[in-house]
Amino acid sequence: MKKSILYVLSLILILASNSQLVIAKASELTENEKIFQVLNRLTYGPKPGDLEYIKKIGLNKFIDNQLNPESYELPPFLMADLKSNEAIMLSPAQILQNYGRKMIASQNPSVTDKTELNKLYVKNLHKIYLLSAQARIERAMSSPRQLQEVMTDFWFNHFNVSHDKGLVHLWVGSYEERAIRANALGNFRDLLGATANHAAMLFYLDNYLNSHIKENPHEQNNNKLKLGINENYARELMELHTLGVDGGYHQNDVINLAHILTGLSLWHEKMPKNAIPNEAFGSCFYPNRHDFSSQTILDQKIASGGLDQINAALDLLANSSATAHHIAYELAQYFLTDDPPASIVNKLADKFSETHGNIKAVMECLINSPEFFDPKYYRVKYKSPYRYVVAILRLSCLKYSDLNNAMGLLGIMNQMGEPLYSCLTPDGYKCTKTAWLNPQSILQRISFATACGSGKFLTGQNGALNFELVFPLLKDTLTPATIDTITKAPAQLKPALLIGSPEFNYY
Amino acid sequence: MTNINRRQFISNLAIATSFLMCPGLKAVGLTDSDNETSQKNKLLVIFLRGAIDGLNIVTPYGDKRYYEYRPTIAIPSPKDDNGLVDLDGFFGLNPGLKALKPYWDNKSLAFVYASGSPDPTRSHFDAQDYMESGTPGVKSTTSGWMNRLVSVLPKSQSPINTVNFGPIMPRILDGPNKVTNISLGKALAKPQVYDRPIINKFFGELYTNSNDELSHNYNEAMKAHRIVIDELQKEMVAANNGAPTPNENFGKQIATLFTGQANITSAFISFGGFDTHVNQGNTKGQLFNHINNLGNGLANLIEGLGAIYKHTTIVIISEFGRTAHENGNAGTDHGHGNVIWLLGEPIKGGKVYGKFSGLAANDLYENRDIPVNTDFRDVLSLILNEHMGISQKELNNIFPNYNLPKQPLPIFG
Repeated sequence: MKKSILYVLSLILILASNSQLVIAKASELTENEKIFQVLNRLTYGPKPGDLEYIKKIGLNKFIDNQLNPESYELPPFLMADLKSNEAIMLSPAQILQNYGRKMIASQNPSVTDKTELNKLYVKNLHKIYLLSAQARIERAMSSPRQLQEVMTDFWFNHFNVSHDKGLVHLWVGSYEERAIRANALGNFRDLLGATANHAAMLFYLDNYLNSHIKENPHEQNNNKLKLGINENYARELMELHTLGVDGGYHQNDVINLAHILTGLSLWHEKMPKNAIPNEAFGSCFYPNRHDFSSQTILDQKIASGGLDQINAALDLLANSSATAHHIAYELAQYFLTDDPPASIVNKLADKFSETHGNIKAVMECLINSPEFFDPKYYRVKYKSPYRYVVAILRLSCLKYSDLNNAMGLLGIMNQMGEPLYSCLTPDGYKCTKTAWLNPQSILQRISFATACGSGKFLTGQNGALNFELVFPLLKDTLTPATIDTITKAPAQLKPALLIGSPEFNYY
Repeated sequence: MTNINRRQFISNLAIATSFLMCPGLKAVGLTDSDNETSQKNKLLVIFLRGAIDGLNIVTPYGDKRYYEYRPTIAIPSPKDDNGLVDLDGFFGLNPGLKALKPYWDNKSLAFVYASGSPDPTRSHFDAQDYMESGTPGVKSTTSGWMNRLVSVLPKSQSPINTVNFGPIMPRILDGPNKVTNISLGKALAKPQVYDRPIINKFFGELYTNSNDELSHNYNEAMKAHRIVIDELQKEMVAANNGAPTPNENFGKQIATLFTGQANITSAFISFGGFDTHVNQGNTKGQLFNHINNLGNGLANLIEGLGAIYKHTTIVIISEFGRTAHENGNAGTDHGHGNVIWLLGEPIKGGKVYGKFSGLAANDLYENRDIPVNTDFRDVLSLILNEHMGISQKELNNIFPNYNLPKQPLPIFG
């Protein structure tokens, strides 16, 4: 009690004697803090050397490079890893062929027991999941194109699919690579079209079953599946992907959009002659299953025309001001603060509309806004489990191949409630503090930090983290009390306390 | 702080609107004295993931079509030595659940037949999602119904008021209200890395220095953790002989945490392995083994609850049932209606509730599955209202856009 009164008194004295300086400090970030804000929000977190690098090339240049990912070459080891990664390099049909049940049966003719075959299939699923996860995590760790990676996480959750549902398991890596990452800083309409046409989304939200006729052209599925109109994707397309839940659409719009989307299904080798395949995305448009009639959505008539009608509907949705506002809000929440002010949301929405969904332009607008460097929003975001784990991996400066237990890391994300590619619901994982801060999570993070500190997940010269490099980097973000505790602690506990500190949970 | 105010606000709302109660529901206002009563009552929800074959759990052996439909996987009639345990002359209990028969006899075990989700999906993914969100057919619901329940439960003294037994927070507990998760198993009673004195000391210092939200969460978590450790170590000393297999062990651990200092009010646990498309088995095999463990675990749980059993309702649900006919692989495929299990002294047991319309093709849903004649929310709403003291107004938040039928099942008498 006495202490705090003294503290307040001395604060008042400081304020009184040096008010101009104090006010200046509160209204503007220091140069170092600005660099940290950029590293926190546009990358998965600082690693040793980043500060010096940015000071050398200049903060504006760094931001510009991040907005233009092609400015950076990927390091050769990363390129080599990615090029040999089947989860992202093969087409969905090839993945199904190489990892699906049919291949298991043909590769193991001696195995006839269904339970045994199933075990082999599960093993394959495991393999492809690990490959998909590797493509994500090793880039998050080592790619200099950090903003592209952060935006990949953002858009993946916006256009979420869950690998827990059937064949999505095989295609989640391909979906992320071909539909999401390729368009992460591109044009929103392209991104929307890519997700609409990828096999993973078609399967996840059931549009592959959405059909004007009630028969299934897929030979292998012709048993009990009832076909007809399936509204699942149409609804989420408006509610989650574009307009937003209050975006002004009605149940009739959902039904009509579902009719428009009929016939957009999975690629199949025995597709009819008039089908229009998209092999790279594992999808196909089946005119025989499509409802060739004109439809009205959002009070606009959309003329019949098969795929053209689908594209016209996507155009309409992508260009709606409700969509601009919805995306602007989500971006501001993800990159600035959990409860973003209307000023920034409106600014971003205007930029989105004005540029017809140019994502890079919207991000540039966000970074150049005074709000972005407002001290109010400095280190106020709470790390999701995924971000927490990846931030530690980056601090370690290790390569993915150095990790001695990658599967264990995925298990940690699972324990913390954010298993990679496994958000069951189409709204994706949240990025807010309320979603992730709970009592158990603090203990889980402390356990994980302690394990990392003792080299359980990370190998390296000095155990896991090089404290001599990491502590000076993070020191300015720590309170004096935390610095004091870490200073007093025995050497082997210091790295754990640093990454397990309350401060390290914020970015 | 804001949480408590919000809760009081909701409680006041409930009192203000209690005259709006629908006739089927008990009028409940959360006054302070009611709080104390409600606090005694406990709820455990068990989810059997993968769609358990209800027809082989509570079997209508009195309908001879059952044996026609299932030539290799039917459970023999009660006349057979290894056969069903007779319940009422028409239904019989799978012999794997023999351990539960005493509770049928003392009328604390009941079933609701032909029950489930009104949504027709046969996707595990969607059906589980709907049962956990409590909003069949609506995917955009962001929270689970048990999380919404937390906001209207009276605040308990224990930091582990509502808990998931398992490593990750399930959909049913997702949401803005604070819940905890505890992983059952041998490791639970073991000290964790943060119990090591030096680690405890330094992290304790980090999380009291900053005196913020994170420190508050840290302290809550450590309190819960210590209670769990204390209670379970007592338990291990008391019962170190004849330890049950780990699979059956869940009952004892949950009982320990429902009683004693931990004093959990509501909890959730799920078990998997019920998607028996192939080689389901009958009086032995995969389904038998799973439910045998489950039944024995439940019996351990009830025994461990002791006097608390009087205040406990256990409800066991699964996302949908399975086909009435067995398939070509001696298994069953995804169906529709299932059976809900109810355990607890508050239950008016010894009875199979719900409308079972027989196995004739015409009486089956799409000529193949047990229909859903009772919405799973009918059963859950009754439990929440009659057992947990949740008012009509509050039920509307827990199960939005849903109304209890005019004549609810008399499962609480």
